[in-house]
Amino acid sequence: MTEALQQLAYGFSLAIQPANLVYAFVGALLGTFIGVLPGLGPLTTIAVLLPLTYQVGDPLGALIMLASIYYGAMYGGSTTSILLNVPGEAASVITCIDGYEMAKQGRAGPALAIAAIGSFLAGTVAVLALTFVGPAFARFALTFGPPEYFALATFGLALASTLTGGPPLAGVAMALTGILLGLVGIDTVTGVDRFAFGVLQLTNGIELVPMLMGLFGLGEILYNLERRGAASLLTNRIGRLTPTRRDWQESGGAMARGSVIGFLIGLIPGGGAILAALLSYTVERRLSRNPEAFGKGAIAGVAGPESANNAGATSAFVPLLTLGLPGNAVTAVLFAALLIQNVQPGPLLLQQHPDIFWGVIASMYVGNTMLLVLNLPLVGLWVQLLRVPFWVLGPSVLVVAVVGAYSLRNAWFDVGVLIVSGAVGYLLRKAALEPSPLVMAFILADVLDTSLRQALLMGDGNPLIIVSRPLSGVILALTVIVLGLQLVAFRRGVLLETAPDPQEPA
Amino acid sequence: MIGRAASVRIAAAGLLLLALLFGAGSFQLGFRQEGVPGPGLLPALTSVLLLPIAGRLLLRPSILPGAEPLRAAPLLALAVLAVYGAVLPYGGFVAPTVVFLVLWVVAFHRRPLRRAVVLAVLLAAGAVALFHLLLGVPIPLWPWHE
Repeated sequence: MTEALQQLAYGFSLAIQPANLVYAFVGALLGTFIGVLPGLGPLTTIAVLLPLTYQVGDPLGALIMLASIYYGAMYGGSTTSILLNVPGEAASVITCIDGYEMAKQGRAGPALAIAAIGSFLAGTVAVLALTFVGPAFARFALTFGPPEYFALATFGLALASTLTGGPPLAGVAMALTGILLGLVGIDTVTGVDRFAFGVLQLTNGIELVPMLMGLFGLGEILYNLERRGAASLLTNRIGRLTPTRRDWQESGGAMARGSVIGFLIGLIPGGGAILAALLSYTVERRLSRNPEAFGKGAIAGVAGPESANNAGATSAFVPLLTLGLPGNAVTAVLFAALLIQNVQPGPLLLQQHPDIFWGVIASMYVGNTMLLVLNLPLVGLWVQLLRVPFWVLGPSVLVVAVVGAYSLRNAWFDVGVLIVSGAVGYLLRKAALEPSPLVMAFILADVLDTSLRQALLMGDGNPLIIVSRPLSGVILALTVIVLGLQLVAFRRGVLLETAPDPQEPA
Repeated sequence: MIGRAASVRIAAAGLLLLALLFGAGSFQLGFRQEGVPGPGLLPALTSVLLLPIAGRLLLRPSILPGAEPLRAAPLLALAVLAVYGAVLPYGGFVAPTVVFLVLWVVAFHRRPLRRAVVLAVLLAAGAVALFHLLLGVPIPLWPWHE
């Protein structure tokens, strides 16, 4: 424990360097600024702002900025959920239910304040836990071989593809598509060109960043072209921000429970913030003395899910940094950002780049504090941003996306990838196919491919090696159970019933 | 407008095509090379799993109840975007961007031409100032820039 604290102190010495503080501040500000704009969720925000971090030469600075953009965007997403009933991301759907009801009752201020304070407290608790759990995870992960990696990646993908809220079959289709697209380019084992079809720019694979900006940013803009005026800002004035004593009493326990639930769920690769938020909401409703208030503006229904959401977002860094396995689509983008900075996430990260590992963890404390200080006083400004008309917002994002895609390799080809991905993103959205599992699988394709082939080599071509080793066998069994349970649950309509519709508060 | 079942069918046809293309390609790459698992192994396994799912979506689009019909405006916007993307390498960033944004704002947001021109010029100038001048992205601004 002392060693972890010493390392954390080292991380702080890096995180509080003036340049890194500036990156954290700019990241949190930009993340909230873009995240609060209607229709742009955290993933779109990160994807659109990712090219900005290339200009930061130092990998730690770039990652600190990205992580701050992430937290800022998450907070921005909560604001649109509460004031517009537009969830910035899937997990914020839960915040919409009671947050929007509170806003309708003229209590937007306390809802926003509790969301910010709950996020701050949960983030801090999760970072504290991460300080101690992270190194233990990394040590444990050093014992993993290719079969364990293959099993873990499969487990993460199975969870990610079945927890989208839609039919599990659709999620699995998206994950399989992501694997295929992720395999385009030169095979790292044999050097053979795979599925580049003679296109020189594809020999290094499809570039992730323009693909993301297209799937989420451009796809969102195209989708919103036909939905103009769907959301309406409820309130001109936020009014009093300070929660009442009763608000505190009702929120305190929810925040604590949400932090624990979120942290634990976020540790599971593919666990996802939506599961954390949904679980927290269900727990709070069950524990409440007044369960009928849920869906009608119960502050615990905002505090719990928001805390769980944020704690999960922080603990998702554990599988990312220690196993090299992104737990959700957002950490998948951060994974790509690390690779761009020549940093390979995984069990060796702690040994090879302790500055990155501890610097990022320490910067999370700094970023969380910065967000709280920034967001509460600036809440009036964020509300004004909600008024930016879509005819200004859409073209602005388009221009940033085009230049951002170009700046990656200074190639117009990537602008083409952006536009094609935008078309795909729009079509998937219209067909009710959630693209997040595609992104996760795209990133994990290389891990899956390499670990499968290495495992088969270890077993002299016998695939039973993956099942017969205790840890990989257990993980694969869990994967089968999860897939089976999700299928059964979906057939019985359980998922449809538990996932609330933001437009129709329960 | 294209119906909601057609949205799913178009997406499913895309997935089916992808599975067939990658499946066929994986046979050419080979499943074993010199006694070790080859580069075609995972694509083949993945394609084989994707094929029946894509087929099922194609035949029974109703299993995706949240699907929505495709509207004309976004499809037209996509066509305009594709033309913009094709012109950029030859026309540089500034002129095609201004023309594209004016067209976009007038056609898809139904704003007056004057407002569209002001927004287009401001956005193009802002992008040049931020990315080209401040961050040093070497984006060709005019047709004569390499």
